[in-house]
Amino acid sequence: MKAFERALRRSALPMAYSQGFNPHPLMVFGLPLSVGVTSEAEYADFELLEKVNPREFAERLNMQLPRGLKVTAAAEKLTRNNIMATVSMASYAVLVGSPRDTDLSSVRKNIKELLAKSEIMVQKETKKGLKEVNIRPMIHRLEALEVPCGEFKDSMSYGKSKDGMKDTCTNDFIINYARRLANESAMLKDETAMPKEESAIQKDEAALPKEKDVPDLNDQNLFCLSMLLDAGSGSNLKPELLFEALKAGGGILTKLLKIHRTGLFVVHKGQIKDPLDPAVLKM
Amino acid sequence: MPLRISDEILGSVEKPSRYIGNEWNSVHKDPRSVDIRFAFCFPDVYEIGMSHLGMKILYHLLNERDDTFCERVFAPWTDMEAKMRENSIPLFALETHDPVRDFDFMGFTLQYEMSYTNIVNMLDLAGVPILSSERTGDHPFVCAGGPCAYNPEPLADIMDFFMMGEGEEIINEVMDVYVEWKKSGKSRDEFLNSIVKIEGVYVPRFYDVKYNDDHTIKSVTPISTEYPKKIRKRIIKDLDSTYFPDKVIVPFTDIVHDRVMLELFRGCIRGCRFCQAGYIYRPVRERSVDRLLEYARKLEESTGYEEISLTSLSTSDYTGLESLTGSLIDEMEKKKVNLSLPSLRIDSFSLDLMEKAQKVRKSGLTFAPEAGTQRLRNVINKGVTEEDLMKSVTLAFNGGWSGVKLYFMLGLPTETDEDVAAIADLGHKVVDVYMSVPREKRGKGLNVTISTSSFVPKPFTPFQWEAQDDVETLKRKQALLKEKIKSKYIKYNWHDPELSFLEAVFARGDRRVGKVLIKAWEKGCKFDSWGDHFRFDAWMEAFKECSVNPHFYANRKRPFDEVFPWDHIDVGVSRNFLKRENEKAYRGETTQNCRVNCSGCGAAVFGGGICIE
Repeated sequence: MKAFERALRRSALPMAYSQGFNPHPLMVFGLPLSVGVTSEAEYADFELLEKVNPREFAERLNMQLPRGLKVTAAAEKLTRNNIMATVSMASYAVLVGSPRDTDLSSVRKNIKELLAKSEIMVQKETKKGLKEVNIRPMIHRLEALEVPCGEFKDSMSYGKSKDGMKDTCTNDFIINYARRLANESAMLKDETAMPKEESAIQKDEAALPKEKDVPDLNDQNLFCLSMLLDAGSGSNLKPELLFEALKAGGGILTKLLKIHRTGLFVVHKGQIKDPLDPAVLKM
Repeated sequence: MPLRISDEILGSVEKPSRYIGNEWNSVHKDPRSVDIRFAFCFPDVYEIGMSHLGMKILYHLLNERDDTFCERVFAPWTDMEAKMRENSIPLFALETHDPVRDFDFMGFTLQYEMSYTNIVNMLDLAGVPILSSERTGDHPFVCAGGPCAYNPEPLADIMDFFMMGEGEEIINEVMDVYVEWKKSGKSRDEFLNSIVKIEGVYVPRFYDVKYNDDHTIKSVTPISTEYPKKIRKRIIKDLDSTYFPDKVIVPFTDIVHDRVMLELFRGCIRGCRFCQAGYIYRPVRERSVDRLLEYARKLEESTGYEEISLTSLSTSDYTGLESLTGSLIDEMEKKKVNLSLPSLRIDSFSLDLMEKAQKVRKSGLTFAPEAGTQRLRNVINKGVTEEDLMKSVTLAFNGGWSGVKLYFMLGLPTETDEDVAAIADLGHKVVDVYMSVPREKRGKGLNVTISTSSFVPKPFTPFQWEAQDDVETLKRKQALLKEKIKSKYIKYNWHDPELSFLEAVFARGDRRVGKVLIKAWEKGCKFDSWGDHFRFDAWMEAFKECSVNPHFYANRKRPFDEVFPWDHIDVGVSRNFLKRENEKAYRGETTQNCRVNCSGCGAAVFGGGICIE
């Protein structure tokens, strides 16, 4: 938030500010991300004092945004309905791991079984404590895809399966992330063969069991779960929770490696739409 | 080779944004394109280090050099450190995440004595030998600067060299010599021998310390006549023409001081006798109003910060304060940028300034009387009267403020219980003033905070000969004060006297306490100034095992002829002047400020600033 606030100041765009002793720029972000979750589709409303061409807005702001943050589209909004209130769905690409010998059809079977249920009960944390909630109606789409990560997976076969579904994940972020993890695991494998350097490790730390925090992909298969879930102030399903339900069901998927948000949506007249859709901007 | 600071690790530690870098205005260069890789190491966590103005200046200054890439290193918090040790990840720099042990320099800034265990810890985490004598050509040069460097001796066995004084010029001179040395392929000792000729560079291994039978120091002498007997600090004479960055790094996360800092001037004219900063940064040198306005604009444009702070040891003494704040407030109001004016001195606090500062957001008001009675304030040369304080709070309350913080010290030389009790009286009087201001004018909800720290005698002050009150005495005084405070509107905060005791040991310590430092670290001491990590028992064990008596350093009054561990460092202000000031203190006599009357402190030897005006 602060990064945007300061970037806006640097851009000298005519932002509207709140009143009072601690004025801040009037902007609202749709649905905050949890720590560690990445996204290629975030939305925010900005209130300006005068009309600015949306393309110019995007360009001027982009010049001031730090590495990793980029405005990819902008449009003028004609209503006061803010983004936080109108967003109701989100799509994610989730990188998961499973034991070496798991294949795509088993994962798909796992999913089919889960979706066949009319009720999936989970413990959800709310402000009032843990609550039993049925998350089935919050799942609008859940699919599994294979993740190619270069030489590491040279024994995989790509291509369409019998029922015509695309089998391979095409999300660049997930593919690159998986590749990086695979490379690091390969390096780790080499390093464990090398003798370790002595260092004056303090006594407490040396006593701790050596748990590896770098995901070791040397014995895992990777998949990408593509999902469309309820999101927003009304009803919200976090991908982690769905993953836990999936894991509990079949025991096929074992590790959640990365959650990446790929889209936010507004439901307009029964249709799922992008928040920048012209019909939505007038909503 | 990029390090494996995996998302899993980041996701499992507190405030992962401490470790990711890539902030706006952070510098990125190809390490292969430079001759020097400099790791600027701040021995505390990100939020503390990123608030340090010195690092902002030197980071950008070094990066202006085409042959140098300066990166930042902060102490990883204990949770991240545990992950690093488990996964064999050595200490890394923020910009590239490269291991610091592969750099040319690790430069530490010594801001406070209780950060020293973090220095030892960071060296260990980096995989660099802790002792200077054990480093080889495979290791970076480890150096240090900053206020605590004026007594470098506790770190003498650890640092390869120190840079005394203001770094803007000396650091470039050292880098220039390094580039030549690196090409020559000569030995480490030869590098140290070449930089020792630069004024302000202190290489501890070239000096020998001898002790008397009573454990005091007999002498600190260079091992060869080619080394200077005394090392004089460096200062920047003309602050207007020296380097000041026109852009600074804007962090993603909350840090302690998250705003543009405008350094108004260095040094202080007041000469409060307990204050080391006021003496070591002399002579006073100001920046011009025009220059400051220029920096304010540039920094605002390049950072987008929502607040600007005017920084100095005594902002009310800045000669251009009226015109500076006038222009700043007008300009910044349009951009919705606040102005912050920390610690204004009471006696120059004018209605005018307060009214202007009121236009933008009101922050709480802080006053530092330091002592409860006029007698004691005269002893410490804090030229402020009770009348001044009451006048100021009256104005403040009439102006709508209702929050007031009052800072004091316990354990000042000649302090009696009456002086301690008088602190409570002052607090009560402030409450009374509030009550006498008409309800419509005063702010709602009065809160007065009295905060006491424990006096620590520091080198290069008139009180460098004094004994610190022992811990039991300090605790008794705290309890006494607490009991004397009767108003429900007053909150009382106090500092841990055990921490202050250790601070006193290291502030006036010598090479022998350096061994205790390493022993304490081996016992797990680090982040000592973070309450829940401070392990006094481990420290006392370390002293015992090293056969060093901490009370010798903290609680002993020195005779005027004793040789100090820092006597070979020259800050301008002379020992004779400090002795005269000490004698005046005991007579309860004050000394006027530099603008009224020159007291011949010795800083004039630099030929700059207020001394020649």
